[in-house]
Amino acid sequence: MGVPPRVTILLGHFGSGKTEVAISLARRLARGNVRPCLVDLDFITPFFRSRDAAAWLEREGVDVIAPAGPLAESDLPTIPGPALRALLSVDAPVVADVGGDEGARVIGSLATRLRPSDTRALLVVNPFRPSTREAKTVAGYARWVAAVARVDVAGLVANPHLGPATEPEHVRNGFRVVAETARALGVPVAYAAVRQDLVGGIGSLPAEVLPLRLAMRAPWEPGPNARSPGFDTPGRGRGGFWHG
Amino acid sequence: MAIAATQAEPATEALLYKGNEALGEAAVRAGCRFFFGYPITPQSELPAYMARRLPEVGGVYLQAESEVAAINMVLGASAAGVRVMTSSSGPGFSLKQEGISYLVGCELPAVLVNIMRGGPGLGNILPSQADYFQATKGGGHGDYRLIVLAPAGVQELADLTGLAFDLADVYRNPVIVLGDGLLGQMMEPVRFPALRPAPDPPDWALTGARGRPRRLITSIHLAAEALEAHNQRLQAKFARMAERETRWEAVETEGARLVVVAYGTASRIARAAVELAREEGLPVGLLRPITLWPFPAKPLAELAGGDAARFLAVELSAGQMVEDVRLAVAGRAPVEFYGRMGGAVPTPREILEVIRRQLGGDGR
Repeated sequence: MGVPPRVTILLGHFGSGKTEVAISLARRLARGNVRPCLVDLDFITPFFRSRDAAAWLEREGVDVIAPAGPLAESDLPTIPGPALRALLSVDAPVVADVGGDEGARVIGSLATRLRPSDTRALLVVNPFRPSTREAKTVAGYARWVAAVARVDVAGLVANPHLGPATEPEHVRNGFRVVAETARALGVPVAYAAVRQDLVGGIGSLPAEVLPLRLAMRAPWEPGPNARSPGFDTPGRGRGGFWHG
Repeated sequence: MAIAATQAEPATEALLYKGNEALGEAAVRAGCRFFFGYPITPQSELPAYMARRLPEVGGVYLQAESEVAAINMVLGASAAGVRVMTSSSGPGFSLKQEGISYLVGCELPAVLVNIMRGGPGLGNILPSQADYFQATKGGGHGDYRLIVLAPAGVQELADLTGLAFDLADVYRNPVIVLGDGLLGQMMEPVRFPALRPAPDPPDWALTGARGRPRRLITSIHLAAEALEAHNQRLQAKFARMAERETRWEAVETEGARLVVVAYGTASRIARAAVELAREEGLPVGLLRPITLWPFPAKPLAELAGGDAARFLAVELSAGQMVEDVRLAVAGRAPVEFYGRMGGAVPTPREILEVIRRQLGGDGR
């Protein structure tokens, strides 16, 4: 796709993997000369959001912009001022992670101010999710979400996986569904997102592979660092409540 | 009312579902065709799923004007003999309590889902297990018991939802599926059984009395002897439920000196902590209640009478289930508690620290 536009907006179904894709995309951009921003505009999902990995991402060279203070743990439809500046008026590369489905309305509300030459919207698709299993339904969904967000979908991000049960064949088979959708929509598959430990086993895919280092983990799963993002961060309570 | 016949939908391959969505699909596959609810985080994906899914199988989704209205719609649908579900979280589930008491009094089956969040009051939208007392001790008025199922993963959310509908019908009593925000929001692979058709209305349902004697469904019994007899019948039913329906999972409890007791999300974390402790050679096991009522008191009592020298209850609350653990252990061993509140969730290492403290010195 040549040099991507400055702002990448990730749209998609509930649980399509936008947040993991956003985090890995932002970490990749952090290798460049200008520190990127990850703008978390998700007010649909109450947790498992980019902001939960903010401390780790800051250390990885990514600025995370999300509602501040107690609002960070709400699902109120707020757009922080710095998020607007990042989307509209700074020079840094930006990845915007929005909530699933109707969460795209936040982009719709800004659509007249976004600069088309500066911005691309990608649709993240996991064909192992219940509502996006077939190319025909995904294409219909893509048109719906583009209308809600009032942007054109410039490409797809294939994110085929079954969580911990993912095998390389799931990735390959799922990718075919996404590629078929892309053909139907007349757009490219911009990335094939693949959990990093599976990248070696899938062979070549006709798309740029984006290795995912998963950050949204349950509290009992090992995270990318010693702390579980979102569930062991400072300020979430000062130790446990004990009685014998 | 005739429910439209639906096409055959076979058992599925593994798909990636959010917990809340899996509750909905499992209900539909169990023959549920009616859902009445009102949105509240962190369970709103369930009504949203039902709004889209139920029309596909000839069912009805209705967003009520309030939780109180929704639970009374559930009562009406259940009286008409159909499988019906409602769901809410914390504050909304509190509003349903009057209707739940009426369902029990009327001996009507229904499946009720509470995806718990931080309380009391509005609290917050983060995961919690502080509605244990409300679910297991009777949140509404009158002497009653409900089977309370506590899944610990997305597949189990689906499996126990199917079971909940069957148990509700067998006992003509509502069944609660008690999860928390984390279970509702997390995604795991899940397989669903084939779609079951909506069952025919049972022989007590209100289906129109033309050509047969009328039927009456009520919870009002004005005379003392009538209401006492009704209560005695209900109590006998609750005793049968307690006798037959207790479910739990024991993990490495054989020979364990310390038994951790935890359900739902807390049990996932506790299990990871027990695995870490076992790697250090600590003699620790986990008992996970799957039914919170009836509570698995008997296996706990047996462990207390055997090798277990201590018990540790872990909950996302100030300590509610721990009271049932203490009743079961009945003073035969110390029962201690560790919990987090307000949406804070402990890590496995945090629990491991408590386990080490408990087994400190010559504890092993």
